[in-house]
Amino acid sequence: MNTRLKNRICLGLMASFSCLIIISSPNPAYAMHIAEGFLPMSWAVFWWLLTIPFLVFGFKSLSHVTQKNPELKLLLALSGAFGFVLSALKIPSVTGSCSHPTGTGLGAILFGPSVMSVLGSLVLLFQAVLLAHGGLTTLGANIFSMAIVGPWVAFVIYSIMVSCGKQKLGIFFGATLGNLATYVVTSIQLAIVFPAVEGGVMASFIKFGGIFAITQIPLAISEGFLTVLVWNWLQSYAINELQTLKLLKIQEG
Amino acid sequence: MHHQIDSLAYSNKLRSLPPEHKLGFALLLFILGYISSCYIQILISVWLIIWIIVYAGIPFVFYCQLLAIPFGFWLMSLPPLLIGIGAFSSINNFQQDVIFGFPLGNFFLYLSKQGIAQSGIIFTRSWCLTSCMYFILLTVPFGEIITVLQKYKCPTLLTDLLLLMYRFIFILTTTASELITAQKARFGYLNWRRGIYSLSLAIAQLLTKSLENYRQISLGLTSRGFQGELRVWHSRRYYTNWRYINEAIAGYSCLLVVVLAQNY
Repeated sequence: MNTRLKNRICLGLMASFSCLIIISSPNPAYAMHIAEGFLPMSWAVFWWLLTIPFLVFGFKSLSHVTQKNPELKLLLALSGAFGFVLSALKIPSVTGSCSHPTGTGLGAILFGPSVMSVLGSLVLLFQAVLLAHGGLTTLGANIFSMAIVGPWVAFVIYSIMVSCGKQKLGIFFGATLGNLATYVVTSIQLAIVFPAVEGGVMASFIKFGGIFAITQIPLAISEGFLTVLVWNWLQSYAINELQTLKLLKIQEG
Repeated sequence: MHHQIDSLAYSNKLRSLPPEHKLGFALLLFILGYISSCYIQILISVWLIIWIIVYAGIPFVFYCQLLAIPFGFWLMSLPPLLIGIGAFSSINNFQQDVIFGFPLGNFFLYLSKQGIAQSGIIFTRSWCLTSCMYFILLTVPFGEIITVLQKYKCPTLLTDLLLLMYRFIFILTTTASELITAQKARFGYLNWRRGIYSLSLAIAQLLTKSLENYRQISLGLTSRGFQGELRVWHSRRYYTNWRYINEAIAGYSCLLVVVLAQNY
C-alpha cells in the first residue's frame, strides 16, 4: 500500500509539473495578469472602485504638471512606452526558463510611485490591447496589484533603505519585493474569488500562491539583480538623463 | 506578436465599417455575455468565431494562438481549483465535496466537486469575454479607438498620452530589438550571468535612447509652436454595410430574448 501511494503521488506530481512546464515555457508567461473573464462581476467592479481614486488623483496631479509645462506630456508618454517595452523583454530567470519583468521597481525608483501608477495602468491597457494579455474587466484588479501595490511597496522599501545609507541593497530589495508584492496580491485576489471548501480563502491563497511561486520567486530575484545592474550603469554613464527624469518628480511635489 | 495584432487590425476585411458600430456591437455582446449563463456564453463565442475568422478574415491559426493565452492562464489555475486539501480529522466537513481522494499523512488530498463546477464557469465566461475583446482588438485599429474616445469627450490628457504612447511603443520596440540583435551577434545572452548583464545594458541603453528621442522631439515640436495640443488629421471613409448590421441586430435580439426568457 505504501509503495503504491508513493507511486501515485510521484505520478501526480510529475504530471502536474510537466503540465506546468509545458504551459509556461513556450510562451513566457505574463503570469501576473489575471486573464479576461476570471473575476465575477461584483469583484471586477470592486477592484475598479478601489483603483479609480488612485488613478483620478494621479491624473489630476499630472494634468497640473502638463498644463504648466506641455513638453512633459511627451516625456510621460515616452516613459510609458519605455515601461511597456521593458515589460515585453524576456528576462532569463534563475531556473533557466524565461519570463517577463514587471518593471515596477525600476519605474517607481525612476519616476516616483504616483506617476508610476498612472503610467503602469496605461502600460497594462496597452498590454491588453496590443498583446492580448490581461483584459478589460480584470484591468482594475491588475492595475491594483501591478501599478499601485507593486510600485508603492518598491518605493517605500527603497526609501527606507536609502535613509539607512544602503542604496544598492535598497534597489535590489525594492525591485524584488515590489515584484513579490504584486504576486502575493494577485494570489489574494484569486483566492478571495475562489475560496476552498475546506479552509476557505486562506487555503485557497496557499494553493494559488504555491503554483505561482514556481515561476515568480526566481523571476523576482532575477529582476532585483537586473534593476541593480541597470541602476549602476545609469549612475556611472547617464547622470544627465537621470536629471531630466527628476523633472517629473519635482514638478509633482 | 503585437505587431501582428496591430497589422491585422489595419488590414482586416471589416476595416471599412464605422468603428462605432463595431465597438458598440462588441461592448453590448460583452455585457450580455457577462450576465448570462454558460450556454449563451458558448453561443456568443462561436458566433464571434464566425465574425472574426469568416467576415474579418483573420487567419485561423493566429486566432487559436491568441485564444491559447487565456486558456494557458486557465490551465495554470486548474490545480489550485481542482485539488483540495483538508485535515484528515475534519473529513466530515467536506465529505460532500470529495469525488476521489486519498490520505496523505495527517491530510486528505482530493479532487473537488466545487472546483470542477467553478473551473467550468470560468472557462466559458473567460472564453466568451475574451472573444468579445479580441473582436475589438482585431478589427478596430487603436488610432480609431482613440478617435472615438475623443469624440465622446474623454479627458484630453488621457487621449494624448494614449496616442503618443502608441506611437513611441513602436519606435522603442524597434530600438530594443536592434540592441538585442547586436548583443546576440557579440555573444550576449550566452548563459544566465551574461544574460542578465546583457539585458541590463540593453535596458539602460534603451532608457538613454528614449530620452535622447524625447529631446529631439521636444525640440522639433517647440520649433513648430507646440502649445500642449496635438491635432492629427483624420480622414473618414467608412461605409455602413447593412448586411452585417442586420445580422448583428437579429442575432443580438435572439440572444437577448433567450436570456430574458431564461431569467423571467
